[in-house]
Amino acid sequence: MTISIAAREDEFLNLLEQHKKIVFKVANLYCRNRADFADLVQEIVLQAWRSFGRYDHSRPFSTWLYRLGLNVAISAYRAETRRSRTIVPADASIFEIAAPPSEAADLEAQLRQLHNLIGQFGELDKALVLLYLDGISNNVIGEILGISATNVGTRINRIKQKLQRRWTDLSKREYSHGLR
Amino acid sequence: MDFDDLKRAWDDCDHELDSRVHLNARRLRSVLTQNADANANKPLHGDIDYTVPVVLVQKQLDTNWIVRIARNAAAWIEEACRADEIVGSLQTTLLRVLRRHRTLRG
Repeated sequence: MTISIAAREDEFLNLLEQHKKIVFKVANLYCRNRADFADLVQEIVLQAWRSFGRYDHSRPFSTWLYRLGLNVAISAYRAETRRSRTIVPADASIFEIAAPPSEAADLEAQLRQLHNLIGQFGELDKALVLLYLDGISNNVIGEILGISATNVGTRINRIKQKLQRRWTDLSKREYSHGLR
Repeated sequence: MDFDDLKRAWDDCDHELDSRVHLNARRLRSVLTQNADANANKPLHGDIDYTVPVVLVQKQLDTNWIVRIARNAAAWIEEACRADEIVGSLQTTLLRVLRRHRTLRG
């Protein structure tokens, strides 16, 4: 049975609407600056659309999208030039982001702090933290990244220890600044 | 702050995203229409399949990096010295290094 392009487009848009947060979070974590964000979002969506014909509908779309999004984001992160990419004007972004309510200012600050902490990790560990925090099981994380579930568990424990050390260092630094 | 605090903060932000992030459907449809050749199902950059596990794409990127450098070096030598023999020999050596690199990386 042949599916028309319009039907395929509708199906893709529906799935993307349901999983838009995945694209948002991956792009947010890997973009070098705010200007790159819209560009990276478009790149992920475009690659997803181009690969959509190979998506196995018996598997969860979220797993497929995490994998594709992370791959595109890591490739873009590594690329020194963006020769093949179009620069997307901010007002033409695929995402519209509503302004945060004033009471969410603390949350914004907390999110920035989270990104600063996670941003210091390598490409793969950054992906691991994102997937773990999103509540994805070790088995599925392993499937997305291409490592075993045991390896996922081991890496997560190491990351937790690393984070704990960073927080301790940060607190000590803030304390010593306070004493001055 | 510990990892549980991080997880709580992450979840708070995640709920916030539900109400704050919206897809610009008009813009998205226009992007899809401009790329209507999606039926071809080929990746944008031709040589990377983004649907495979992340570590495999990382390997492809590492290899592509070596190939890119080798191609640039060969082109530069060819242009600068017109030394076809040196280029041929360099290409053979680089291919050997690349094969070894692939074997070592599995």
